[in-house]
Amino acid sequence: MPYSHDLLEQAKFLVGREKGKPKQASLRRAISSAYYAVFHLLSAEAASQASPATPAGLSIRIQRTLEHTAMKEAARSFESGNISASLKPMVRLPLPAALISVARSFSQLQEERHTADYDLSKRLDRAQAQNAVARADQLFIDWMTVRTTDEARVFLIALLLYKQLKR
Amino acid sequence: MATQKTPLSPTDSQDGIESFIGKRELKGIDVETGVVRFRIRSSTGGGPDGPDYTVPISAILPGREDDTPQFWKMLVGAVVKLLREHNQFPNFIKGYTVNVGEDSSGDPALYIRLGVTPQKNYTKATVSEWNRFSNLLHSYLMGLRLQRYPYIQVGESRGSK
Repeated sequence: MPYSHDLLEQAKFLVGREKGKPKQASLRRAISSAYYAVFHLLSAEAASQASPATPAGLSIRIQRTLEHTAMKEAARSFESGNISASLKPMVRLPLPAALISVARSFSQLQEERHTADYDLSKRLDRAQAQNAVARADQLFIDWMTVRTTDEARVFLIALLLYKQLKR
Repeated sequence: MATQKTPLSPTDSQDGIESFIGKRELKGIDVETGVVRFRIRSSTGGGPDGPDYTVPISAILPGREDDTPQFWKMLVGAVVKLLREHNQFPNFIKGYTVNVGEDSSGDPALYIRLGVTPQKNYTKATVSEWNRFSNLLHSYLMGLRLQRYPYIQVGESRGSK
């Protein structure tokens, strides 16, 4: 099973780990794993699309160049339809609803991950964590429905090269 | 960068914004037409008030004088009211809170937390309903072309409004 799917499975396990009052650590790691599941899903797809199958390891190197902030900016631009001029001619507007959903969930999950990992002043609850995990789960489903479209291919390139394409 | 949020409370100033021609007062927000209505009140209190005037919601820029917690609270309230009128505000939302601040990248953000009744566990169908509504609210807010990116979170109700 791909790493991204393992992370999603782990997030689902952690959110329901305690039957009674959940531990903060479980909820925080569940949200974090949910975000990293979608991060690795999309970054692996972007790297795979941008690199040949050989030499071995090239795709992984490209995957490591992806930056969280740039990916979020790219996702927001697709969500709002405010796509950079260099990419706009390659997509049909309005974008597929599932792709907009992927873009929106990615941004939301990234912010939730930040809170979960760094803001210990805030008490998280099961509803919040379960919602984040469900959002990640839905993102996987949405992605499967659009991943072969031209719009999704352009989206992956935007995730990879957002800063350069914005110029 | 640490996320900074400014909590909104009923004590937030309702007095308006002082300017050189008087006090600018936030009168209302029409989310259907996408405009904010202001009125200039005489700074001395004795002179005549100016007429109402409007600006697009999308023209409320982060860090500028109109970018007040009062404005954002009123905006979300106006959207919620509209959704209620159209029977699109679900019963499972027991309240909501509104905060503004900067997100983890330092970008201007609007945080909305939807409160639901705490339970030991939530069914998949229940969580799907939450997401369906938060997506609806998010799409609506994005359609207003806000200068703060809206983050919508579902959490257990802690006596929020």
